[in-house]
Amino acid sequence: MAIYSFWIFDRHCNCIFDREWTLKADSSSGTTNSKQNEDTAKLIYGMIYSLQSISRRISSSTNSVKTISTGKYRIHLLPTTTGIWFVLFSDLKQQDLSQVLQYLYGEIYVRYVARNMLSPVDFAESTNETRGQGFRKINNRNFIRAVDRFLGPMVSQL
Amino acid sequence: MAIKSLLIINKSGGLVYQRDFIPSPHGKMNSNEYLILAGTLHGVVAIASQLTPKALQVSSTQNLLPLPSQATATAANAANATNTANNGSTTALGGYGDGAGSGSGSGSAANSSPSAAAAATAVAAAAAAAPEHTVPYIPSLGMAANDSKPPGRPMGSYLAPDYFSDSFISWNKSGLKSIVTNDFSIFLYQSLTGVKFVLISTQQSTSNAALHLADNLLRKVYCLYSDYVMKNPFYSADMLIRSEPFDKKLHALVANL
Repeated sequence: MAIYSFWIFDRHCNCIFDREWTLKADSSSGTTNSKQNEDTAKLIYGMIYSLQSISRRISSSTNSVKTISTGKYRIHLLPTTTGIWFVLFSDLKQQDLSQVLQYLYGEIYVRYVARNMLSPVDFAESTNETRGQGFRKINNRNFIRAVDRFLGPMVSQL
Repeated sequence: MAIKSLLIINKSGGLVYQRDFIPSPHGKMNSNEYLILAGTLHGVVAIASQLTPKALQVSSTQNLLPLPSQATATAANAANATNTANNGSTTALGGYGDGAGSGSGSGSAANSSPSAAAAATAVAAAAAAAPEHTVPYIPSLGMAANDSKPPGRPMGSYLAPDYFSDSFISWNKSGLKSIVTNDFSIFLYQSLTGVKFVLISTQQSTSNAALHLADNLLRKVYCLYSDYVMKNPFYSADMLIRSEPFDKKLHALVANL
């Protein structure tokens, strides 16, 4: 069992949170909200966006992608009706992490970001940040700590 | 699983073949939409291979340059443990890609029985062959029952009873393999020459077994392709496939599922 990275995208095509673990053996390694991951985040967003639009065209407009597998890793996806995507990269042994994503959304994001009076409601503050040019991230310390505490044990398990 | 549709995409991302097996309840997509679908899948395969997580990049460089002391230590551990079932975890931990030579060297150093050392090298060789990319053979998938076989040569240039009878290695090691949505799933099989076979099926299981099943089926479609498309003198490469025997055989393969 291994988890590689965790990403949150908002409805303005911006990455508002990223956490990537670089060493499987060490759950405190890696980067949080790194500037270097901006290009990767755009690639991930573009890939998921095009696959979502494919799946809506083949089936109904309410259909959405659950998992994407490649030869090396698997992506688990939880889209919410408010347009926020929760994206989790794991190895190929993880078949369904939808409950993990549901917990990250319902118990951690809602608790530390949505119910937080000091956190912005929308992470794009002006109209020129709404087309994917936004740079604001979730910097709430409690949120970051809760994500690490919850996902940390899953990073290193073999 | 029921198969909705099958597509073949050439190496430059163009759609060369598309066939529906179940009429879609949401209305048929037109051929232009299928072309867009093929082009998008082609692009996503390229993006997916670019997106290797950092943890995998780090561990792959570690496997290339293992410390010699560590490699021999894990090899000695593997030689001592005669239970090969337990060896899976040690081989995964140690940089074992080139551990076959050091395994035989440490076998004499650890003074263990020769049979245990041989078992350890066998496990190391199996680990070096990257078992994660091996697709197990699923017998008689999509094959006609023996009594209903038509006369003549029912399987083209392949000998009965099946196109192949061994597990095989997937060429698609880093690109996109499957997409599972709430309503259906898409499976991709890629050949070494860059031809992609895409299957849209109605099942939503995310298990690896479904992936293996689809790989087996698509490899059979690839066998049909090499028989009835590639051996057609009127077919020009990378153009639309218009071949009646290919259509017929494909329908028979899907109908037998």
